[in-house]
Amino acid sequence: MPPPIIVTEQLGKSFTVRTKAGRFRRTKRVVDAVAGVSVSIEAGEMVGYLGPNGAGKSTTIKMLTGILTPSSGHVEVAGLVPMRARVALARRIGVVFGQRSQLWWDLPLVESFDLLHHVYRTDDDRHRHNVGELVELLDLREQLDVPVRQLSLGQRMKGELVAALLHDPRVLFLDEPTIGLDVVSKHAVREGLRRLVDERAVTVLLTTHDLADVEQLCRRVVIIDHGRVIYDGDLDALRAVHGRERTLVVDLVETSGPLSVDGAETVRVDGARQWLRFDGGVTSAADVLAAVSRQADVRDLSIEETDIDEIVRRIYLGGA
Amino acid sequence: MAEPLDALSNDARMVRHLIRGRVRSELQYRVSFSLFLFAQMVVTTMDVIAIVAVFSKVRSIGGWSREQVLFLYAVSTVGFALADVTVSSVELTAQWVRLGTFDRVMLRPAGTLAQMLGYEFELRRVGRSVTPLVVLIVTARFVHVAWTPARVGLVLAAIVSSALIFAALFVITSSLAFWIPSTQEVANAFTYGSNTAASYPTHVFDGWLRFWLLGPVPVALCAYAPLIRVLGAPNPLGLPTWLQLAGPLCFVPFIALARFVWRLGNRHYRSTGS
Repeated sequence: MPPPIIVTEQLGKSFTVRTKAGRFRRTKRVVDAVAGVSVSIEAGEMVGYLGPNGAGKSTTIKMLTGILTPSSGHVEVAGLVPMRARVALARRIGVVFGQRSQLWWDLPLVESFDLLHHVYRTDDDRHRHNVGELVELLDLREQLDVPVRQLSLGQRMKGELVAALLHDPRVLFLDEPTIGLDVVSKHAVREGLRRLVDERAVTVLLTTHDLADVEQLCRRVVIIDHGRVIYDGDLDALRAVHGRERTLVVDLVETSGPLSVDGAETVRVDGARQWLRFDGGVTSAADVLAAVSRQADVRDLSIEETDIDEIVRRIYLGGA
Repeated sequence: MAEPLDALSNDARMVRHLIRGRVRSELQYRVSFSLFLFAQMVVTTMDVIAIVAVFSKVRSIGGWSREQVLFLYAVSTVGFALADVTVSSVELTAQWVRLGTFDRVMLRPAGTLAQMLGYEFELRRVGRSVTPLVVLIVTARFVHVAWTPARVGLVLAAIVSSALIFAALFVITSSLAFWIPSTQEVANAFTYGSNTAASYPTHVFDGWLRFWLLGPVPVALCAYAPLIRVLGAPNPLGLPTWLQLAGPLCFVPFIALARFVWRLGNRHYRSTGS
């Protein structure tokens, strides 16, 4: 069996934070952003790396990609120690930051690809082939000659994906690739991602706080909180225990006492608004809604998915 | 030895392409491009007017004629302008570090400084070099010098040396941004301030400023020293002949220092945000 493509052992990063204490004095405080993360990822895996805001996700990614020097522990990516071999590693990985563009804002999309061709000095034929194939896969042919600033957010994110894959990286790091996108664009980006992964044997580490990203793309998830891994395993297993619950929120025409519906539990009542939690694996939202409608007139409704903070909370409560 | 040279020529090729891309995007905003170019020419012309105005009251400054001072100004400022158009965009390091944009260059298989200069190149900065170039060419005919190849060579050395020492100063002062968030004002005092001081014969200054220009930040050795020899101008400070000839080499330790500080800063980089 080939060695894992990403290995970390007790990886840690601490920052010194200076805070004001009195007029001139400042006190130093050491904050552990990442505290002993040990993860091993095989080539070809697609892993979701989850956690609430400030959990240490981005800090981990930055250590894996050679941007930050770890304070402790050991890390190896594609056979290299990231910070020591920054340039060599850059050829073996691709990185997409959802909040930071790597495209040239004022130039047509295709020119960004050409410039990256020169930055990475990839083989000419290989470059042409990759642009053709990736643009086809992500359905970007129409957008090639449009300046990046005129692309929609979703199109731009797909452009970022192409840009990150042009040099045939072995590992692709995606940091919040769907952040800020509307529902339709999110869907398009996820679809594109899935096609990319099916077509190309690339290892993907996907950081997100949007569970839907992971559900559609990853089989394995690693959950981190306060710099520590609190879950590492199968997505299905996690979902079976924690993730299938959804909440139907209904606004009734008239206030009423807590509704009682089979297969759902009324967890909160606030005036005419009620929250009914149900197990998505057993009951469907439509069933719950139908049962509610038999008891009261519904003016408006929405469905809340279980979010990552909720899952983290439950892992602490129940253990996983 | 071949490896760093290889990396250098690869970086140079990459920078050429990046600059071409930058210029194409810059030219999409032609009006703002032309306005900036024009503004730069006006600002630099003011410096020339100031020198000419001084000479309407006095016949010489420390024994140097109007044409000799203008020629010194031109040599030093053409050098500075070269550094300004190619390297001064490194000043954006502070902003890149604050916003975390620096991540991007860390993730690419090329030199971080080379990438930055390529990404942030601004053609419109050439506006700064137009006036001093014109002054250089015009005054070259009025300084009463028989232009032998050796003298022309020494003038070129003075220009290149000024460019390189100012380039190094830009990199060194900008590197501080890896440790201290806002240093722009202090940095400008070093770079733009040194340029202004280097435009006048160093002997008109005294005390710490003269010491400063000859010692810690020896911009006076780049242009002033060799021009004493080329112009046959008065030498009240008594700079020895070897210094007049070898002065332009003073950039060498500064380039080494710039390289060292930049690399140290890179290692110290603390990426922000997500």
